Amino acid sequence: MNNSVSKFVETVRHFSSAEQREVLARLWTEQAGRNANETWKTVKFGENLRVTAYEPAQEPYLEELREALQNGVLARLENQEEGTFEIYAANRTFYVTLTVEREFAGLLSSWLPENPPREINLEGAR
Amino acid sequence: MSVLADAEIRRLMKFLRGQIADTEKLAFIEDELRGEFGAEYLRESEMVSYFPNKTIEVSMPETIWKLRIISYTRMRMTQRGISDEEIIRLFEKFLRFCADENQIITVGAYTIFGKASPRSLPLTLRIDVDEIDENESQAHTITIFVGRGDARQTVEINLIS
Repeated sequence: MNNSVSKFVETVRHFSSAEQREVLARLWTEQAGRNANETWKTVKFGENLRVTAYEPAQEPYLEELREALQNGVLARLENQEEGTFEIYAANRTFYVTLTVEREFAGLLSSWLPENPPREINLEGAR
Repeated sequence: MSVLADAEIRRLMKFLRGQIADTEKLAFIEDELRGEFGAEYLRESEMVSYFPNKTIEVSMPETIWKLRIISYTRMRMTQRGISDEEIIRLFEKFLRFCADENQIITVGAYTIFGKASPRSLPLTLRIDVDEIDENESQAHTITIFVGRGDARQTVEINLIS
């Protein structure tokens, strides 16, 4: 294996699950995305797509989200009941509620790929 | 397509009766919530706007935290019968855990998994920390749901189709 690839793999091994997802999502080819499973899928919307931000702080990112969803982008289902997905655009990851039937995306949060959510497990904490 | 449970609709309608005076509007909303796309209708901006933001103060020894519960989270709390107290307890546990583990809280997104009390259901609380300050720090909730997200198959993906 090429030395730089080995270094990369070794680095990724030490990432948290959220960090690993950020990397893997951006390595996926379009072809692989089309053959994805129920959790990972490529989503693509047409001109009728409606996007909204549930938080004013997220409004500056709406156009980037719209563009990604209309161009087609890799998404990971986070919670079936809630309809929440992580949307992996080129330069930003969006946390949204997605309603395919209503062509609607509600933006809840977003972050840069190098700064994904930190996962804190309080099981067993006092 | 997703149908809401009867208990969820009852909780939502009880809350909405305190927010909306127009009985025709209330009847329309109830019809939508009971329909086959009730869960999807609930996520629409207009529906979410009926659930006001609320800021809760949490005092810790080193700083005061202002935790803003956004409209979307309040809607989910109402739907699922999750109280302010459960949110506060989970948030306090998170702050204590970080202090005990010497984990420095920084600006950014957090996914917190735990129980508000030993007998309560496991919850996932997602928050964004907005500001860290010596005297007063700020965060806001994103959402809360029962159990964990669909974490399986999220890292072990097949890159070769």
